[in-house]
Amino acid sequence: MIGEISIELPMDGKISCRFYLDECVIYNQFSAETHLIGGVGAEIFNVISKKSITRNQLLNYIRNIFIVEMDCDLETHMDNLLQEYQDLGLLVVSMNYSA
Amino acid sequence: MKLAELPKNLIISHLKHGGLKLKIGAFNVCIYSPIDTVSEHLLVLYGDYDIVSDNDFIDFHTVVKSPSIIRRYFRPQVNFSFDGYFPFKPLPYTQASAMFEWGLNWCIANHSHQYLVIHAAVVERNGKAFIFPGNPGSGKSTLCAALVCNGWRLLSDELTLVSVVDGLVYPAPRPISLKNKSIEVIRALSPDAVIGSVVNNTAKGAIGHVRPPTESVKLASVPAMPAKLIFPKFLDGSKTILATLSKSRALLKLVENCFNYNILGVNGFNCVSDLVNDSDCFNLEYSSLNETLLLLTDLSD
Amino acid sequence: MKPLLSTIFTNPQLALELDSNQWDYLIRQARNGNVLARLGYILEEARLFGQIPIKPFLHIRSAQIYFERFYISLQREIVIINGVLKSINVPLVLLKGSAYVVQNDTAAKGRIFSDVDILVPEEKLYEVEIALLKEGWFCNTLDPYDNKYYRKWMHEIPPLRHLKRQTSIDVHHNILPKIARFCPDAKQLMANIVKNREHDLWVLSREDRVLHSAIHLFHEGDFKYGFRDLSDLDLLLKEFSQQEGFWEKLLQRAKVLRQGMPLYYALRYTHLILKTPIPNKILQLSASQACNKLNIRLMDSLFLRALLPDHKSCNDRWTGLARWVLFVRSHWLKMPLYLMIPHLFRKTFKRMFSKDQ
Repeated sequence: MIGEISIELPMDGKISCRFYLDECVIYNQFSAETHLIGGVGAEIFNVISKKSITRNQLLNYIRNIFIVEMDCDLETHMDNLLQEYQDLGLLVVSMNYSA
Repeated sequence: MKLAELPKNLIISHLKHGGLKLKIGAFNVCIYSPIDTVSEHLLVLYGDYDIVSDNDFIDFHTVVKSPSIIRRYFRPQVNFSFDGYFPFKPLPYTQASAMFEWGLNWCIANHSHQYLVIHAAVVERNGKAFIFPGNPGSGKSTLCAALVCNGWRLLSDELTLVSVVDGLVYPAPRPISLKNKSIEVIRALSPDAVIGSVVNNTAKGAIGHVRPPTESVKLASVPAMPAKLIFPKFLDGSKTILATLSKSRALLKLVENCFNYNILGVNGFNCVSDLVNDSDCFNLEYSSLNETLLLLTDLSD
Repeated sequence: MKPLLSTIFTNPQLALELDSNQWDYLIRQARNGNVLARLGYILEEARLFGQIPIKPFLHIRSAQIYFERFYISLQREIVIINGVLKSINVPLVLLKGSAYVVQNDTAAKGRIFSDVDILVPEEKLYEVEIALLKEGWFCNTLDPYDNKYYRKWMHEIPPLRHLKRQTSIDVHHNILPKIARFCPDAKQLMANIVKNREHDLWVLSREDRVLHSAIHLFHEGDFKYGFRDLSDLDLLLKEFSQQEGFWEKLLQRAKVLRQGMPLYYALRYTHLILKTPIPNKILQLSASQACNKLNIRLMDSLFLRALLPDHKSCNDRWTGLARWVLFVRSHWLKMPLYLMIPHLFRKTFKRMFSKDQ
């Protein structure tokens, strides 16, 4: 079995997103918190608000959009953001298995 | 029939007994108060408002009176109640008229969740609503009063009501509350403006109320389309600077200025987002009222 | 004169015949009794929502919007509290409003309240309190007398408030104070708890939920939400009695927990005020089971006033006295005389002093 990490908005519809240029504003109905997110984070939500995506696909997508400095570890940065957003209840990171 | 058309002694009798019933924007308000300064305040500033008939539904039953007989005479105090509920601690008796206004603001902000209620002044010209959110000290009330004295329609000086259903701004025009120096500034700017008795020594300093224009009260059932969202900041000596604000930042700033954003949940979020989308958003720094008036008038053309 | 509110709660169809003045009173009584959102759900259930005149409708909707937000934030609070208790291996047993919500009881509809109430074994009380304090709750009660009142004599620790979310939790180890005259055995309650699989926590059994509501209401000294609590009982009884054998189980449980008196009053007053359908046989049996009940005419004169909303349109000249007598009675039930008298003095003095401020 191969496992793939997939990232998507929560299925219960409690997350609402609005996009403005390179920022987005997110409302979490469950926590009643409103978040302003820019940069890589905004792109993540731009993608997953349309459909779920695998971690690898997301990483490639981000790499293509952002000009990254030599010593910047984009992968770790993205993972840290994903963890932070998952902790806030804004997205869901899960392992999908296929035969 | 308007309040001004009733004989004074009948008005005072209503206030002391069954309650005086006025239509204020979309709200029917019943006021009971045996206090002289309250009846004077209503007589001077609410003359253009329609009387509500005894058979009509009342939205807010309000009472402004002393908490007890003792407190009528010994260190006199006044209290505001909404149908038996007291949202505030008592205040000095001399502040009765100001307390009525604050109390009514509280009633509207807490019991009108069909609207997004923004702590903002809102005025209209040429069919465009200009919304000025701001905390005390931002200068929004002074700006509002200046615009209104220059012919703009007053929708509200304190509570902007945006319908969650259609996104329009619904008026509830009331006397414009001015503090301290602003009272003299507006008196100088507009000598014809009717300003009620000044209440001194409140927590906010001296407070005076400007009578809303007759035309604004007449048009109280006519909503307006939001056009500009402007966050004012009065800074002594500053130039007049109108700077475009990004919509995402404007959204967050607006959220901070809403009374019931948290209560409305996702509908509140959508309403705020739509408002920001439909309006041009700005930060405004100013010190010269005249310059600012010219600028805003241009913007509304 | 029967207030409009109880008439409409009993027979919602009559709302179609109300004029503006009557709607005015109805909304005010409902708001005052904290059942304005619930009134909305009752009218919705009766398919009358579209026929409410616009002005009262907006007030009802406003209250429902507030409730809808409250409902979501309550669910979040329950998840967080469950997490804290799981971390110390104590099962979460929810009481009252929170229990109605997770069980989808009709009594959850439109019910707004300020605290989450939970039940824990007395021996776990300290551990639970520490765990909550570590996660951002703090003790709201600084007065040393109040602290002692709760910890030594009552069935709960002082209310805890969360620093960031400003939500409150009441941690109980029983549903009545240990010094109360008819304190039930907490172990009996815990032995009868029911698992809620969806939320992975526990609630009291149906019969015990009814009894707890009855105990709370008929031991209460403050009837500010008396009508709402009576309406809760009405909804709980109507829903649960659809299950076969419910009435018999309810009477049996009341016997085991020594709560014949509050159950009798609950059945009597829901039946009298809200016309809750209760078989005569059950009413009679519960009357016979209620030992130590005082002259029923006297209790009627007190409760039939105090259980209405505290609104001037519902009060008569005896209502104030009735509420005061029940206030004293509730303390007599909760504590022995030697504690009750100084406690009442202190409470009355505090009330007078803060009113003047």
